[in-house]
Parts: sequence; C-alpha cells; structure tokens
Amino acid sequence: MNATYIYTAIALYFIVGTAVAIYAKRDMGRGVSDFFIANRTIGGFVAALTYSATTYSAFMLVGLAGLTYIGGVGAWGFELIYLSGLVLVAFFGPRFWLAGKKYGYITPSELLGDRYQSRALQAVTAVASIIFLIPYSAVQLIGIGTLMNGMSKGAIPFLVGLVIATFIAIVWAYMGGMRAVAWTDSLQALIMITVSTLSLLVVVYGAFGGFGGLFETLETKFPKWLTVPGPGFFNHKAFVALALPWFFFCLSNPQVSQRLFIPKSLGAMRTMVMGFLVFGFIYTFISIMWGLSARALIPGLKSGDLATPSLLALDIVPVGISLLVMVGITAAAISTINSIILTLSSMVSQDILKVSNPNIEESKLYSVGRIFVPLFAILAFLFATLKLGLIAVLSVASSAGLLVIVPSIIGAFFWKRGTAAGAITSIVTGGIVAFWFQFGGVKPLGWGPGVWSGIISASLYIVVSLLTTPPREKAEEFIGYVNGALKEKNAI
Amino acid sequence: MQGQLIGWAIWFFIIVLSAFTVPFYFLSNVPKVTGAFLYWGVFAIVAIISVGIITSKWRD
Repeated sequence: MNATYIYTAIALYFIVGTAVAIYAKRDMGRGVSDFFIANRTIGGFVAALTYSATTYSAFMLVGLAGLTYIGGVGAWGFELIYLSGLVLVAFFGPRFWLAGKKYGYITPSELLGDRYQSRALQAVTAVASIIFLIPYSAVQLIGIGTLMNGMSKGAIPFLVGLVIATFIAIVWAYMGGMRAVAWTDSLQALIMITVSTLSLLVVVYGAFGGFGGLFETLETKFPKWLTVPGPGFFNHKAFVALALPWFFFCLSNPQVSQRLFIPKSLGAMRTMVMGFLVFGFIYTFISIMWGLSARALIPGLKSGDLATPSLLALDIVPVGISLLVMVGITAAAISTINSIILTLSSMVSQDILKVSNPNIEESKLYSVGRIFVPLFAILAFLFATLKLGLIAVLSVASSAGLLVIVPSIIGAFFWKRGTAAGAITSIVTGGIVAFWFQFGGVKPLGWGPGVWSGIISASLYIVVSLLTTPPREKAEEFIGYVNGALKEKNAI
Repeated sequence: MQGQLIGWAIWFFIIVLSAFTVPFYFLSNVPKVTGAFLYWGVFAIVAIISVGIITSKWRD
C-alpha cells in the first residue's frame, strides 16, 4: 500500500483525536484526582467505551486472530472465559467504587496500602505493575511499527511507526489526563468496532457468500479447527494456563481496575459493565471469525501472526478497507498504551512519591505524576526499539505476573485476617515465580506459569497472613463500611 | 445479601468451570459449529445475562 495513504489516514485520526482530547479537557482542574481519575465524574457510555478500548489492544485482530488461525475454536473459548471474568466486577466493582469514594483512592495500590496499613505493600504493588506493564506497552508499539512497515511494504520504517504511536499516546494522555484518555478511547473504541465489523462483512460475504458459507467450509475442509484440542495448540493444560490468569484480568491489571474508580455513579458503572460485555462479545466474535476466515482462505501460512496482514492483502479486500483496519488496529494499541502510561504515572505519584513523603504538596504530586506520562511512554519506546527477547517474555508473563495481586485484593474485602506481610510475600514470590517459569520454560506437572503463580501467591497470602498480625481496627472499619454501603446500594 | 453473594458465586463457579471442561471432555469429537463454538458462545451469553441481573438491582 502507498505510504502516503497510511500517513494521511494516521494524520486524520490524530487530528480528530486531538480535537476530542481538547474538548474533553475543557473543565479539567490541576488536582491529582482530576488528572488521573477525572474526579470520578465519567458517565456510563464513555466509561464503557474507555474500559473496552483499554482492555482490547492490537492483540485482538492480530494475536487472537493468529491464535485462531493456528489453534482453532479454542481461541474463542479462551477469550470468552476472559470476557466472563467481568462477573468479578459484579462483586468487586461496587466495592472498589464505594471504598474509592469514601477514602479518596486514586490507584488500586493505594486501596491495598491503606486497607492493609502498609506503605511498603503499596509501593511493591506499584513497582510490580511497572515491571510487567512497560514491556506489555512496548509490545503494543512493536505491533504498530511492524504493521505500518508491513502494510507499506517497507516504505514506512519500523522506527517511524514507533515514533508516531509514542507521540500520539503522549499527546493525548499528557494533555488531558483521564478525561482526554477516556474520550479519545471512546472515539477509538467506536473506530475499532466499526471498521472491524465492516471488514469482516466484506471478507465473509466476499469470499464465502455469508457466515453459513464460512461455517460450511470449515466443517468440510477444516473440521479440526472447530474442536479442542483440535489442531493441537489448545491442549487442556495449555488452555487452562492461558485462560486462568486472563479470567482475573479485570482485577489484576491496574489500568483496568483503576477504571472502577471513575464512574460518576453506580448506575454509570452498570452501563460501563454491560456496555463492555456487549462490546467484548462482538469484538471477540469478529477477531475469531477473522482468524477462521484466514484459515479457510490462506491455509499455508508459516505463522499465525501473518494471518491478518495476509488477509488484508487479498484482492477481495478493497484498499480503503485495509487502510481502515490498520487505523482500527493502531487505535486499539494506542488506547491501551496511553491508559497504561497514565495509570503507571498515577502510581508513581500516589504509591511511590506520596508514600515516601506523605507531607508533599498536591501540586507537586500532580506535576511529577504528569511528567511521568511522557517518561513512561519514552521508556516503552526505548524497550520497543531494543526488541529484546526479555521484553517478549515479560509481556507474556504479565498476565501471570499480575495475577499474584488478586489474592490480596480479594482478601482486602472478604478476609479480615489478611496481613500486609502475607500480601507482600505473595506478590513478590509469585511475581518471581511467574517470571522464572516463563523465562525458563518451567512447567511442573505440565502446568504453565499462569497456574503456578496463582496457586503459589494464594497459598503464601493465606499462610503468611495466619502467621502475622493483621491490622484489626482498619480491617473492621473498612469491611464494615463497605458492607454497610453495599446494603444501601442493593449490591451483593 | 450474604446468601445471595454465595449463591451467585457458586453459580458463576459452575458455569466458568463448565467452560474450562465441557468442550474438552464432551465436545472434542463434534467438529461442527454446533459443538464447542456454540457451547462457549452460549456460556458467554449466560454469563452476560447473569451479570445484567446482578447489576440491574444496584441503586444510585
């Protein structure tokens, strides 16, 4: 594809997004709550779209479609188990929201630090998030660089793609914090769902005459792709190790759980949850159909990662549609990156700076936190340019690595006996195990790091908590308040 | 509230467990769209409806 088309499409996307960001930040103050969580004033519709755009990255139309291409319908099961993890928000969403409002939490780590009365726990959780999420962001940038480079047949250098993506992510997040990110995410979510639906219809109706034709082709020519383990990729143990950490994604990943603080009311949170579930189901269906279509049309590819670029290069896909899909994938990646860097910056401000100096002025927290938006983006950019194997390992390990925070979150709301020592031990040891198993390819009893990091962190949290002294007074007060408020709001 | 919480937790545990097992142990020999593909789709819709029921009761 002509590089000029790509540059023009990206320029238009940037101009429209920037206009939205400027509109969104019109009422923004200079406080940390305002910058990082929009003062808890986001309406349900925007909250649903920012939640969707933050959660779904370039992985969907590239990685998940590729997994489907290789492993078949197991990818559909894996991704829907992840989507069903939102049942956890039905339990924890109101709890996060009520506690956040009452105690003024801005980050999920702040909630843990206060509940367990431990600044060390707060800092440890923030550092663990930074370690796993920067490489995850770097992989998103690499995805955009590779996509632009591949679609322009080398005319757009990989590095130029990285610079463009980093620049856009910085501008919107730095300019207007959560307000700008939430609104540009909404725009991007609409782009993602519209262009992917359009492109899928073009491919399925153009090549198979409709979904019936696609399913018939699969049943007759590729029946294994409709079963598990099917072609072999999704054997049961691999499936569990992959899906289990993702089931807890909505609690383990701070850029997502921080969004439980932002709705203006519980009604807005309801719209956010249900909106996301509908969006997620449709977007997952599209990504899976995309991968299955690639399998039926171009079965000889050497790697699943080639499925989407190869499908876009087919004659049945008009150039305009390919271009739109590229913008949609770019939007998916950028909306994830800017949410991550904003969340990590809020963690530096609230969980590291404020913890090390509790008397620090809010204006300083705001300024320093804001400066970290470009710094984290540049760090992700530098990681992406290095293309180290370690980055890929950390990125893949991120879901298993962040899973270790979940036992402490569950305990914070349901177990008064939980302690900071138990939480810190489980997070640090579980995180090291996740990285070690991923890096070393260690699979005791055939189970991957996603299973072991969860088991080890949960066991350590319970055992160490039982051996140490809990913050009884705070636990009573915190859980007592949350339970009382839940009753008032008729939430379970 | 406590009873409802436990009831819903058990319900979700059962349906999520089924999503991890049924397609592997009961549908691995059904190479049709009406096999694992349909099962997981129905599972997700049931989960979405269940979350819808819980959240519909929330009061502002």
